[in-house]
Amino acid sequence: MRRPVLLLVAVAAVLAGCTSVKPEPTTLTVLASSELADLSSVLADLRRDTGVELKLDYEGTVRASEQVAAGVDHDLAWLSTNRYLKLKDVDLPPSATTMLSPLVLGVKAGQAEALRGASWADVAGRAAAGGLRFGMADPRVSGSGMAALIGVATAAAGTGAALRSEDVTCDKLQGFLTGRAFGAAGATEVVDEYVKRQDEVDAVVTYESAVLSLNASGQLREPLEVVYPRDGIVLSDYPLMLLKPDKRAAYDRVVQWLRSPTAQRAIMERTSRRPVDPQVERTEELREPIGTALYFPGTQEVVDALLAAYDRAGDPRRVVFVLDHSTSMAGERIAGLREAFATLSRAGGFDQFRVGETVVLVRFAGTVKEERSVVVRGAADLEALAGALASAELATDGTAIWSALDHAYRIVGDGTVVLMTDGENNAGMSADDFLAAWPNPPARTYAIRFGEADPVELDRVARATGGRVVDAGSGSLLEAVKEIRGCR
Amino acid sequence: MVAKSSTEEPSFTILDPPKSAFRRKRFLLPFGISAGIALAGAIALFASGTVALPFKQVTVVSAMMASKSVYFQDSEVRRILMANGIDVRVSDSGGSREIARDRQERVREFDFVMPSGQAAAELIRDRFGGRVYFPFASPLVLGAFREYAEALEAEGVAKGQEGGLYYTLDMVEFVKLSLPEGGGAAKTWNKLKQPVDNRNQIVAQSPNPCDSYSGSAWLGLVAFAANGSVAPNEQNALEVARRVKPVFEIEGLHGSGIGTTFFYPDGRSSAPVGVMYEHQYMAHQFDTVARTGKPDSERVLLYPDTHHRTEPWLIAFSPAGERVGDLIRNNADLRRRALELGFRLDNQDSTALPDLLAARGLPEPAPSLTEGFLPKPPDLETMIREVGRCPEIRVPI
Repeated sequence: MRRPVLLLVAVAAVLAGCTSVKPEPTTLTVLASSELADLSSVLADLRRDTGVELKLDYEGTVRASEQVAAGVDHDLAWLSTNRYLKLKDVDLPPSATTMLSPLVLGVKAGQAEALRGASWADVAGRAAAGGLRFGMADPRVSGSGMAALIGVATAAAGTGAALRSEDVTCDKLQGFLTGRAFGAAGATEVVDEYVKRQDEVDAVVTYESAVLSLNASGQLREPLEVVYPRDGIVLSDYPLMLLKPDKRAAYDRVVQWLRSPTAQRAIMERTSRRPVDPQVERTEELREPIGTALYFPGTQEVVDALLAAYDRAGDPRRVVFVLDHSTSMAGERIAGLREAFATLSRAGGFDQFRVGETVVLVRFAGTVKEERSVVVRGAADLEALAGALASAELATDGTAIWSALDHAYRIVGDGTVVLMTDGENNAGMSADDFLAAWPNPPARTYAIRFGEADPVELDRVARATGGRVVDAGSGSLLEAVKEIRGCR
Repeated sequence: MVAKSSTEEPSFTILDPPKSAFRRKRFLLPFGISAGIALAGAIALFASGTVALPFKQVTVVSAMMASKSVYFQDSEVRRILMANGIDVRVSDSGGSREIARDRQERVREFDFVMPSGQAAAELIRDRFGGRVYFPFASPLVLGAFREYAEALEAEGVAKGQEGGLYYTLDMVEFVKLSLPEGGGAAKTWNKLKQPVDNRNQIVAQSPNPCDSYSGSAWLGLVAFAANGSVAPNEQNALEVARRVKPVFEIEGLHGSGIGTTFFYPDGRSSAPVGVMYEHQYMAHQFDTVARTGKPDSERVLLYPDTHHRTEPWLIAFSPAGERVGDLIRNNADLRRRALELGFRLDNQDSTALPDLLAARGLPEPAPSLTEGFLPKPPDLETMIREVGRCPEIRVPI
C-alpha cells in the first residue's frame, strides 16, 4: 500500500519538476536606441526570470536603422520604431511591439500656459519669433530628432496626408529650427544637456517618457509640462526585432516576458513608457490622450529632404521683396500687401519672419523709391516689419519692373528675390536690357503677379533662376506669399 | 524453550518496534494532505493529457505565417495540440505575401505555412506545391473607433446595424471620400458634416499591399468600388491601379496591420480606422465580455457592402504539417477553440460563430451578401506592383 503512494508522489514530483525547468542562461547582443539605457533594472528582472541576459549597445534610432539595413552582428535590435528600417526597403525582421511613447515638447511650467493645446504651427511661430528656445536631438542620428522634423514638416504641408517629395521642395522647417538652442547626439544626451542648460532655455523636444522621468529625477529647478502637438503625434512603439533567426527561442522568451503584465508594469513604473497591454492599469500621467498620429512619409527621399533642411538651419538668410507701389496698386491690392506683411510678422505659424533672417524691402514705381533692410533679432524688429508698409505712398511715375529687379540683384547677396507687381513695365530698363545685363541671374527669383501683369518675360526670368511665377489673381496675396516662403 | 529456573535468566524486553515514520500522526496529516494534493494534481494533469507528455513523442512542427499566428500562439490551442503530441513553433513572416516572395528559398523548410487568404495562398501553392487544408474563414472588415463610424454614418457613407457594434459601409461612397470625383485632395475627418477632431485625410489605414494579404485584398475591394463594381481585368488593371494609387499614398508608410494595435489603449492614435480581419475583433470582444461582463462599445466594425471572405489555407510540406492540417480540420476541441478566437467555420457549421456570439451576449453582424470580386491573380499582381513599391515575386503567374 505504501509503495504505490510513494511512487505516485515521486512521479508527481518529477512531473512538477518538468514544468519549471529553467532554460539555459543565454546572452543576446542587442543594438538598441540610446534612450533604452533607462531599462537596466527591468533587464535585471528579465535575466532573473528567464535566464536571458540582454547586452545593449546604444545608438540613435536613425543611425541604428542604417546599420541594421547594412548588416550588423547583433542578435536583436530594439529601436524606438522600425519605420526607418522599412524605408530602406529591406525585409523587415520579426518584430514585436513592447511599449509606447509619443514625441512631445517638455516645456517649462511657466511657459507652458501659452502652448497648452498647441499645434506644431504654434510651436514653430513662437520659435521663429524668438519666444521659444529648446534642445533637440540630431535627426541624422536620433529618432526623436527626426520625428520632430517630420511632425513639423507634415503639419506645415497641411495636406492631412503623408509628406511627399513635392511637399518638401520648399523648406518650412526654418522657423521651428530657429528655436533650436542646442543639439545633441541622441535622446539621452539631449536630456542631459537640458539639465545643464535649464536656466538658459525653455523646452526640450523628446519622448514623453524622458520628460516625465526628468521631472521625477529631482534635477530640475522648474518642472516641465508635457505638450502634445495636437495636429500630429509621432508615436514610438519600440519593436524588439530578431536579427539572428537561430536565436528565436531566447527571443520568444524575452518577448513573452516583456509582454507579461508584471514586466509591462515595471516598464511603466520605472521608465514612464506606456504599456501596450490594455489590462495593465496606467498611472495618472500616462492616461493623457495623445491625439491623432500623423501619417508617416513613405519614402526615403522625403526624409533626406528634411535632413538637408536641417543642415541649413541657422544659415543667415536674406530675402529681398521687390514691391510695386505704382498707383494701379491702390485700394484692395496695397491693402492686401500690407496685410500680408503684418501677418508674416505677427501671426506666427510656419511662414513667419524669423529671428536671424534679413528682410529687405525695395519699393518701386517708375524708379526705386525706398530700400529698407531689417535684420530680425526679436519682437521689436518683427513689429517694425509689420508696419513697414503701412504708410508707404504710391507714386504716379510708371512701373519700372526691370530696373527694380536690377536693383534687387545688386543687393541680394546669396538671398532670394520675391517680386510683386500688378502692371506692365513702362519705365526704366526694358526686358531686353535686363536680360542682356543679367545673362546668368544671381539669385533665385519668384514673382507674384496680380491683375494685368504680363508674366511671359517674368516667367522666363524666374524659371531661369529655378523660381517661378505665382498667380495671386485667384487667391489671396498672403496665400501666394506663403506658397513660396521657404523656397530657395 | 527451558522452564523458568531459580536464577533469573536475563530477559529480553521486547519493545514494540518503533512506529514507522510513515504512521506517525505528526507525519501522517501533512503527508496525507500533500499526497492528496499531488494525487489531485496528477489526476488533473492526466485528464488534461499533460501527464502523458514526458512519455509521449512530442513532434516539434515548424510553421511560418503572419496574422494567423494568434491561433497557434493561443495557450488553449497549444495545449490541445500538445495533448496530441504536437508543439507548433511559429515564425513570423511579416505579411502573408512575404511567404510567397521568400527571397531566401526557405519556405519548404517549414512543415507548413498559413497565409491569411486564398489569393496569397494560391501564389504559394503554385510556387512551392504542398497539401492544402481549409480550416476556417474570416471576413475582411474595417475596425473603427465609434466617433469615426458615426461621422461616416452622418455623412451617409455607413449605416449602423442592429446591436450597435457593426456598420455596413458603402464602399463606393467611402472610396470617393479618399478619391474625390473630379480630382482634388481627399476630405479630412474634421471637414465631415459631423466632424472628428482629426486633420488627417480620410482613408482606411492598411498594411502594404505588397506584403500583406489584407492590404492586397483591400486594394482589390477599393479597385472594385472605383471601377463601377466590376473587378478590373487584363485590359484595365493598370489604368484602375493608377487611378486608386492616391488612396494608398495618403497613409505614406504603411504599418504592419492594425490587428493588435487597434486594441491598445492608444489604438485611436495609431490608426482610428483600418483594415483588419473580423476574427481579431471578435476575439477581442469575447475577451472583453469575459473580463468585464460587457462588450467594448468604443471600437466597432465596418462591414464593406462588397464582402470579401478571407480563407487562410494551411499548406503542409511534410507529414508533420499534414498531421496538424488534419487535426485543425477535424479535431472538435480545436474547432471549438477557433470559434472562441472569432473565426468562422465552413458551411457545415455556418451558424457556429453567430451562436457563440449570441451565447456571449454579443450582437450578430450582417456581412453583405454581395461579393466584392478581386481581380484575377495576374491582374491583381499588376495592380499591386503599380500601387506599392514592391520587390518582385518570383512566381510564374
